[in-house]
Amino acid sequence: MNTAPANMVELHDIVKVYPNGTRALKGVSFNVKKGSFLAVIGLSGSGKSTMLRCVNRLHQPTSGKVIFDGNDITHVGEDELRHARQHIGMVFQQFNLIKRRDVLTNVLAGRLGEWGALPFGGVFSRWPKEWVEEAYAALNMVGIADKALVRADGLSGGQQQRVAIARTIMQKPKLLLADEPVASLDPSTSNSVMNYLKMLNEEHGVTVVCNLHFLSLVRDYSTDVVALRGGEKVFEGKPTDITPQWFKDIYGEQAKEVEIH
Amino acid sequence: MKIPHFVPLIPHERKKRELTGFLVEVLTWGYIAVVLARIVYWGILLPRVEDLAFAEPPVEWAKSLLALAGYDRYAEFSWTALGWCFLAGAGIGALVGSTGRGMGTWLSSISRLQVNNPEDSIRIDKHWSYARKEGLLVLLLTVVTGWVLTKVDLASMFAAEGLQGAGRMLLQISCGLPGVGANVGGVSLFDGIQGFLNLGVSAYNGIGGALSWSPLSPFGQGCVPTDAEYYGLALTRLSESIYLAFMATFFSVPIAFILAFFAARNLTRHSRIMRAAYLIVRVYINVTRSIEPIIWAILFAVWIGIGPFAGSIALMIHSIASLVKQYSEAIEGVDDGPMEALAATGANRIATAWYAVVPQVVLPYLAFTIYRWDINVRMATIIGLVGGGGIGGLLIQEQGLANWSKVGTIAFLIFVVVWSMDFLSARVREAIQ
Repeated sequence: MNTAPANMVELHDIVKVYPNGTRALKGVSFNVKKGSFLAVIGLSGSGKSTMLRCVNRLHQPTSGKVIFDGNDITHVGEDELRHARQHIGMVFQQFNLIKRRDVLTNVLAGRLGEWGALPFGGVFSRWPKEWVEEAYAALNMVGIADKALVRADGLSGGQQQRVAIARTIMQKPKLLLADEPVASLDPSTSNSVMNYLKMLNEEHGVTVVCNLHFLSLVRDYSTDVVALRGGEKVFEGKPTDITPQWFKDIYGEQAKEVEIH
Repeated sequence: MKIPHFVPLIPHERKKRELTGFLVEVLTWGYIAVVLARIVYWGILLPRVEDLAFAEPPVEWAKSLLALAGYDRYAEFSWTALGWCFLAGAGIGALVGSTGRGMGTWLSSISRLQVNNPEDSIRIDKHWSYARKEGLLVLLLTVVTGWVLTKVDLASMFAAEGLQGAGRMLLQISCGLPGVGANVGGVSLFDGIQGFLNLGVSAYNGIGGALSWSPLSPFGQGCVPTDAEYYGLALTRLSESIYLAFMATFFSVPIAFILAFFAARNLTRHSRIMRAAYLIVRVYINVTRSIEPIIWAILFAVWIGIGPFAGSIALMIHSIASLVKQYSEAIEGVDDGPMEALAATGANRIATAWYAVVPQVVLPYLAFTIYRWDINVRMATIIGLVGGGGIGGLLIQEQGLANWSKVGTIAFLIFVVVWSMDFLSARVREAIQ
């Protein structure tokens, strides 16, 4: 391949049926351009989280194809998948930190992928000095280097999410998947967390796919929007294209827009 | 066998439930017939008739009844007859089951689904009225069977000789407890207990005098308290038990720690090899756990010789299984968020388990382990009964020689150790949770 692919992720007709019979995704296709900040909107249960987890195959799609950076990773084996995942960061609504370990360990854990080839996954290895320095640098970027040796469960929600972002920075990802990263945070903390994501996107060239609930955040931060409803894509375009009619289509007739900035 | 539509069931399970209900009904009636035949006929009726038939002088109608049943002398119970009874019962069960109103159908129709319509709940109540009666019958028959099979004999519980024997043993055992035999100002606690028991004897003789029973002689035993030397011996053997329990727990922890990862459903779903490992570990722990440590001790006492080593291996085998079960349940209960997060960074499965699972299970593991040590100390005191070393060996020896006061001393020491272990482990577990 001479030319680098223009799309970071291509989803082709992704179907996901859970073992209990729930059809979470009913054939969703879209592309994520390199360097874009794609917001995915839709009601709870519309399949946003499932879609995100299909990209890095935390959930195995029932059918369809996932192309990441030009490579089809839908059915690759575990080693190759791990290799791909090293380039895909992820932040979660519930932060998913190792609560009983200090912040520094949590950030360093972002690099565990590089130890994947070691016999015990690096369980018995010491963190290299350079990694520790990089981890401090990552913590500095999100402004909580002073908390490095505090246990993760001693931090507030916003701080925990920043640690999770630092863990992702440690990974040096090409793509960042964010699963409702601000849904359990207050409005002002939400904005600071979104700003860190924006910084990664603009200054470090990380492509971001972010599930969001608030249209105001979508308009403020994203470059592209995809909307899901009932496991199907109902809208794809620019955030400025979302008219009140579209809003009602996506969220239902009864919906009323709530704003946070 | 149809379950009426107003009984709430998951639609695709209805057929299965109906079939299960029918089968349970058949088995239930087979059971009823067998029990009736074995207990009522062979166990109660026939022996009475036999007694009459061979009494002096024989009762004629009983004799002819026995002849009618096909026995010339003794009524012998036969498996073939029992088999026919079962088949006959099963036939009745099939008839009852086909109505869909029997107890079997009732049991198999029970589900977590709620009845929404109040009228339906009345209809359901009515529908199962026969089933409830059948259930009552089965319960009643089972209690009667149990009564006969366990040879309940209330009279022997209150027989005078038995009571007096128990009284003597109780006195001797209490004599072995420290302080009971000590003479304080001419009286000891032992004398007090003996006097109290003699009150019972006097009461018996008082009533018995009026009813012309043969009088009982009062208790009049002396008490020689266990000497300090014996305490030394018992404590030595007891410490053997405690250390045996400690060794068994200590060495089972690392093995259980590793096996637990393979016995947790949530870590072994992803590949065929891991599913096979899960199955093997689960089968292994279920087999070893279902055999009591005392049985293992018998095995190892033969294998490696009588002594504390055999006992600690026996306890260890059992501890590994129990710990793996508890550990793996702790693993299955962890928050899988951190695991998801680390898997998403490309960390391999071992690293994910180490960094995301282990921190979450360390405290529960500690609590389970301390509790296991506590259990093992208790088990270690009896494992010596079969040659596993420790205080149990001494206990069975003294019991065999009817040295009841020494048995009392040992029982007292065991109580002190087990109680303090229990207390300590409860405190530690409280503190770390």
